[in-house]
Amino acid sequence: MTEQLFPDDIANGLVDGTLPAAAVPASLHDVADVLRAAHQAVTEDELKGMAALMQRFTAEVAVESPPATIHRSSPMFNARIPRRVAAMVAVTLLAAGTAAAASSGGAFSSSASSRFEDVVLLEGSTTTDVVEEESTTTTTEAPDETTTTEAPDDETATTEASDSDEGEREDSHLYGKCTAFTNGTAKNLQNPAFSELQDEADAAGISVDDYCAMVIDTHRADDDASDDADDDASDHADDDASDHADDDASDHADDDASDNGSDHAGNGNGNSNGHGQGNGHGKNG
Amino acid sequence: MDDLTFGGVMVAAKAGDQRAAELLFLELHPQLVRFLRVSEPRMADDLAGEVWLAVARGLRAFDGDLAGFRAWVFSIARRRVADHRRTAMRRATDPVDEDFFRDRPVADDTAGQSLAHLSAQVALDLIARSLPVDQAEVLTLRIVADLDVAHVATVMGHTSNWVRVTQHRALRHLATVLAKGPAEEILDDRVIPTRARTI
Repeated sequence: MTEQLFPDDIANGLVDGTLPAAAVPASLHDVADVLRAAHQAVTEDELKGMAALMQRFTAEVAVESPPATIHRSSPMFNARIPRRVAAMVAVTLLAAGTAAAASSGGAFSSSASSRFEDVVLLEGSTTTDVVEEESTTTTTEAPDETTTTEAPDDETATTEASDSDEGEREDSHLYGKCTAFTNGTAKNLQNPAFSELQDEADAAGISVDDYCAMVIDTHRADDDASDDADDDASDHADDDASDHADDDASDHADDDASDNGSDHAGNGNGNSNGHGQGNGHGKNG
Repeated sequence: MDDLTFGGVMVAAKAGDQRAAELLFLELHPQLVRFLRVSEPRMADDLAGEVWLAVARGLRAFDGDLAGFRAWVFSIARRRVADHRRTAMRRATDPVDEDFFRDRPVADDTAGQSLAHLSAQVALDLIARSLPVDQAEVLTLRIVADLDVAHVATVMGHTSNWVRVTQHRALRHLATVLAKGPAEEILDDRVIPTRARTI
């Protein structure tokens, strides 16, 4: 005997609670009531202790979750790698430029040094200035930019003589004012430009005329002394330069002569030294 | 909660968002507790805690929709119930005496009540005590867990056709039982042995 089953839509409707009461078969009315009662919502009494369970569950979810991802300000391929590539390119270009400068350094340095020697000679600089200009030109690789390469020398001069220059500027400042006051037709000491002279003269306990005469005399005496010192310094520098050049030339000449002598001695023709050793080596060779 | 909302909530919960985890909990916990109370009345809360702990630990590996999540949670619950019963049998101690159902307050509430006015817990107890285990479990999962035939088959490890046939038999069996008398008489007279009392 085969088993008689309810139609699926009726069975599923009963179990799901979606079957209308009119569609329920008479033999299943009680079943429909029980199933409908079973679909009632959960009461609060059934949910006692739910808060504690929920707290445990949420805490466990937070613990079991993966660690927070580190948010980069920009991805690696957008920031780090291009930065590194740029650094590598810069280093490569610098090395290539240095190698190119080294390979062609003889002709370049000679032309550059001669060109800057011309500039320096026109400006009346010393030989030390020439050396500094050559080094600057080698690094910047811009021999035509003579104005830019001269700027560091000015900065160096100002930094080296900063303390002494302040006194000289004050002296020249007072010298200028005194010159103007002495040569001026209207010697108005109430003029703010000359009030400083009045103050200085009062501090010295002399008149403004005497003060300015003293300042002018002192300034002229300093100028004469500095001119003499400059002349001596330039003379010494020229002498040293010429001496060094002579020494270098003689040294190089001696070295070349000895080298050539040894070489020629190896060939049995070493007569340049005149010591007779060349012949001996030549015989042995 | 629809599937679209569930997707966003699940993503947030997997990322550790506690508010999303609360939404998932509130979506299923009432049904889970009811299912556990029908299965193991005295251990329902403890088992619920174990189930949610397992859900939290396996949440990252879950992939599916709301119905799939519901089936997964109730699969865990069903395994926890089975583990608990297995452990209780090994210990050979049954904390529930034979008069357990007679002493329950809900049993007194059935007096004078018609079937249409039964509480949900009494109705489920009636189902659990009147039907064989498999039939009661099919109806409970269909009603309490709100699972369709296919998902019940997945949870119970059977085919959909087996679930469909078992569901038909459960309805016919329940109709036969209810035809014998009022619900309170059924609950009083049909004292099911302890091991078969719950699904």
